[in-house]
Amino acid sequence: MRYFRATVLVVLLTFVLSLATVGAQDMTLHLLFNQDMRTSDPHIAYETETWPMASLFYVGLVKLKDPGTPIPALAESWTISDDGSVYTFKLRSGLKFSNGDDLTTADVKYSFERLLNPKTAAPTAFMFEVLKGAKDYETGAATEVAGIKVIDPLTIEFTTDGSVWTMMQRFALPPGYIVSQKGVEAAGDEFGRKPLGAGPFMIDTWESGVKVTGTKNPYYYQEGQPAFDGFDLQLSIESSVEILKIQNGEADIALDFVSSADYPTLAADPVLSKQLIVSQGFPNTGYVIMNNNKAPFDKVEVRKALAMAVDRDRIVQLANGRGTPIGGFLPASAVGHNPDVKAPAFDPEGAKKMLADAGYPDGFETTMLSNLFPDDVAFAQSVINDLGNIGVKVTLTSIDNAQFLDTLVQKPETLDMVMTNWYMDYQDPSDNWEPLLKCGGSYNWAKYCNEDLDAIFEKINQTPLGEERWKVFADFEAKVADQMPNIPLIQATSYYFSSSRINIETDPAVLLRFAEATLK
Amino acid sequence: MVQIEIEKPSERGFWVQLRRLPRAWIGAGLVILVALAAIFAPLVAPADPLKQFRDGLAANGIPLPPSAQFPLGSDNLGRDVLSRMLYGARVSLSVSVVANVVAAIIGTGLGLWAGFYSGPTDWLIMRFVDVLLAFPAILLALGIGAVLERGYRTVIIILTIVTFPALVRLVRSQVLTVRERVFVESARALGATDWYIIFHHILPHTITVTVVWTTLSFANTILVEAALSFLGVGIQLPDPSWGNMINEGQSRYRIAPWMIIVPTVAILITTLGFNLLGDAVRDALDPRTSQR
Amino acid sequence: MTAYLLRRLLGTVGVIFLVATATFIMVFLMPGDAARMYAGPRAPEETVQRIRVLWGLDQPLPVQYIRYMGRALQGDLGQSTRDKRPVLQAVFERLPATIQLALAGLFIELLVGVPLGILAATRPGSWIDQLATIIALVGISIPQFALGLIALYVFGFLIPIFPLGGYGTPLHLVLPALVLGIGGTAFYSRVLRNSILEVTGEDYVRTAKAKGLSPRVVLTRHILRNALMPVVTLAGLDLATLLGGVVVIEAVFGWPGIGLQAWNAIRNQDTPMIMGTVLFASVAVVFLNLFVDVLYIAIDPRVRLT
Repeated sequence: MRYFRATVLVVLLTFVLSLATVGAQDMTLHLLFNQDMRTSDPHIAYETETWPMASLFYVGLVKLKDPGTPIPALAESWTISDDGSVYTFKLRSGLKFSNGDDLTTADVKYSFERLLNPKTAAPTAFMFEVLKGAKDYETGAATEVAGIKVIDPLTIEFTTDGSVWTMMQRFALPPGYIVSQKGVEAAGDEFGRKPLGAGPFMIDTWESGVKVTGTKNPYYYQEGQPAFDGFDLQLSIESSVEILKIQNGEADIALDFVSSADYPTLAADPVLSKQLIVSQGFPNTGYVIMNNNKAPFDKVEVRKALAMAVDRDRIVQLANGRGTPIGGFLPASAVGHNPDVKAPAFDPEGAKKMLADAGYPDGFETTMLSNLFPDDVAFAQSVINDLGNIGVKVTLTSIDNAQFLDTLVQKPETLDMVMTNWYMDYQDPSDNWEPLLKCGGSYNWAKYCNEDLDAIFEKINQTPLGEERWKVFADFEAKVADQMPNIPLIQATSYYFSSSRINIETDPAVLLRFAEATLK
Repeated sequence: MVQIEIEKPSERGFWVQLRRLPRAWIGAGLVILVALAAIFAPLVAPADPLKQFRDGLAANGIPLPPSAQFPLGSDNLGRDVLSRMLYGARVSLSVSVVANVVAAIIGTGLGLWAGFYSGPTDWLIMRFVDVLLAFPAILLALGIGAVLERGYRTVIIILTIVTFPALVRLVRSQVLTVRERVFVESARALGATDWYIIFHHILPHTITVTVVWTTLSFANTILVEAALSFLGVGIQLPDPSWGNMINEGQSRYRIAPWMIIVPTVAILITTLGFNLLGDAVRDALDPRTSQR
Repeated sequence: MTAYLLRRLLGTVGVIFLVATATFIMVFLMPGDAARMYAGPRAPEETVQRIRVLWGLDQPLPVQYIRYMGRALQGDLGQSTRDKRPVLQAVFERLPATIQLALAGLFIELLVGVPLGILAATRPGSWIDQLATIIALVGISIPQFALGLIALYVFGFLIPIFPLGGYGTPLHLVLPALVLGIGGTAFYSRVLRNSILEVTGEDYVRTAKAKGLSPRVVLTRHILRNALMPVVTLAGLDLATLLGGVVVIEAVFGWPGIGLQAWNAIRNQDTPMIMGTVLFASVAVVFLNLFVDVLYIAIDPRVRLT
């Protein structure tokens, strides 16, 4: 036994020593990811790992300081017309791609046309379909996008159909990143792995499923950034191993969030908990959809009763405390959220009574669909358990994402309840209302349609970004909560875990700020 | 990959042989143990397998380790793991039993048909079986799982489809050897119908193949059911099956290892029991490999 | 011999063709929509429809099928609908990891399975035989994914001797190969045991024994040489299956092999990639089958070409 222990000790020591080779002068940013990396192409990227990935190699006209405040990036200044429909950007002079080629407004135009070109099949193209003439370009009726006009090599003008006050937020996202036409044409189908942009780093090697490396872009627009000479990204590292590697100083940060298996241990540790960073990007709402077209969910009393029957504290507990109960259609941390719209109090008795008053004293039987994501399955089971307590018997079906989306889109009439969640792409209340609850919205599986609320929305949506806009939307959220179109459950909080040697912030647009990261 | 060759099954010798093999005893013991657990689950289980105990989780949401209240710990929703394991035995076993019985019937039927009537029917059946066997099993399972509605019925259909093709081959080859024997010829000469010959002369010689194959394939279907649930096409939660218990536990193996260890051990005991028993039965039936 | 090979080759092409066709139909029937999956939940239906047109998914099954097969015959397996990369290249990139794991797994199966089989056959019915059988059966009774997770927990976390999954160094290979090998050991030991017992009863072995040759010589020269034949067959088939990818083990250990590729493709309804990986797997199966059969003929003159 003693011998065994000694052996283990030796093995452990060797392990630790081998990790200690990461010295103080190491100027490489060491990144990790638990799966394969799909792409770095900013026009193809649309996941919590591919957006930060794209931001290593690319940058756009602007960045976001906070959800509602754009700051200069490739553009040094801009003007917005009074009606919020014409956006004129002035580029910095002497901009270059990481290979030394000049970057001008022609490249900006090319990038947006590539995004909108159907051949690119960009999943995020919709964000810029609001540009004038974008649809004609997509269908091939026009060879250029009417709403993109190059004035001179440093000036470019974008025009939208009507006022779109969230444009500046959209320009900061990866679909707004500038790519090199030469790079795209040289790499062809491999462009996702042979990126060429003007971001903080440029690519060295990409080993499928194993490793990606890059070096500092000497032509990056911001003097002194990035602070690191390069980066390496190890792929397919199991989540728990990522934590161990970061703890040992062998790596700096993982592109995936801390898993349920690791979070409780880290949060309980007085030292390690300080290395946890709350993600600012993609604020989400976890909620249960009820098919408002179907009895008994067409009755607002029933919907409210069900919302009261759910124990949200329990759901937060299931998420190991990583979340906030919500009662409105916006995440608790979002701008425009009304702090007075609180989560309904957990009250099974009251819910039972309300249900009886609505004409269902014995409850009813129904079904729920969920994704296979572990949290969704767990939350769904907890909700089903709570609803069972007021006599509502729910049968759960959990299916993988491809089939889940297909069922929602192709057979919405078969749905009763759906456990799902929504991630905001840009942090504006309209990004939750339009797809989720507006009549005919693209993710409105509740088939909720309230023309009065839509009319109010159209009016307040004309308010420019800023305090006034958040205020009118806060009032709006209270009106929506009174209708309880869905059962809001939780805003889940996601954490990153970073090594103690670096300072890195999260970003409301692309999740992580690699260019601005520094050594401590 | 199981080879079954059976000469003349003599009943007496079979039981004598079987009783000599410790494997048979251990295997039967394990199978009976699991069957008893499944049958008496409602009496033995300390709790309702679906009940989410308010105090079944630590304050930070971590499942509780084994204790007096939860003898084998609690799961990620605060349910009793022991109770879920016992009820899971019912689900996993019953699904396997039904699938294997159906597979045995289909496999024997098609095998008899293909073997007895050679020609185009035989060719067609065997090519069908070839394609089923050559097809990647996971894709087959996921494909079926995606087309049909989730639930017990679908799991049974998938298990049946991955089980019966090999049996068709085994039964057919057995039929081919029996068909040419003298007693079949003489029965035919006496004017017996095809049905009569199949049921009275050929079927009895294929029964043993079917029985041995089915015993051995039980273990396999239990594993496939677990794998299906692991990949998310199996029995739907919150109903417990061993596979979906492991699925729920996999992301928590560091903080709640009992969530996967318990169902894994249950699967191990069951499959080991059936494998030992099946292997012993096969040896007892095959004089060449058991006695010398 | 040439005629035989030619006939067999034709047959294998036929099987690959059938499997490809069946896969195509299966993927087509699966509910879910690659274009929608790719575009995400919020993309407007027009965007999704444009992607469908771009990928030819709007065409009826026969058209899609003929197009695909036509291109495949020219060596073009298309682009992945998920990352837009050429399928052929993506499959080849996964080869090193796949081959490493397959060979290492097979090596462990043989390393444990063959001695166990010989041991069991030397004294049939004895306690050694019983024990060897039971050990082998325990091996096939453990669910691989559970064994994998437990191995990770014990040897990666509790006693961190091996890396917790991933790919790169020989150390990374040890746990997945062990888990893979343990599961397959039973087949080899059982087949070899029965095969040895069968061969031992043959006349030439009796003659050899009667000539007074030492048991060791009889075992190695006369019995094993013949008894190993089914093991060779089994190893060939096994290798083929392993090359086709071991989804569960690759998923548990984060091993960048072809199985994981296939599994991801299935989850994303990435039709070209599913077809690519299935084709690769079936090619591996039929050609290794063929190879084993030819090897058989080469080493055993008793096998006739029929």
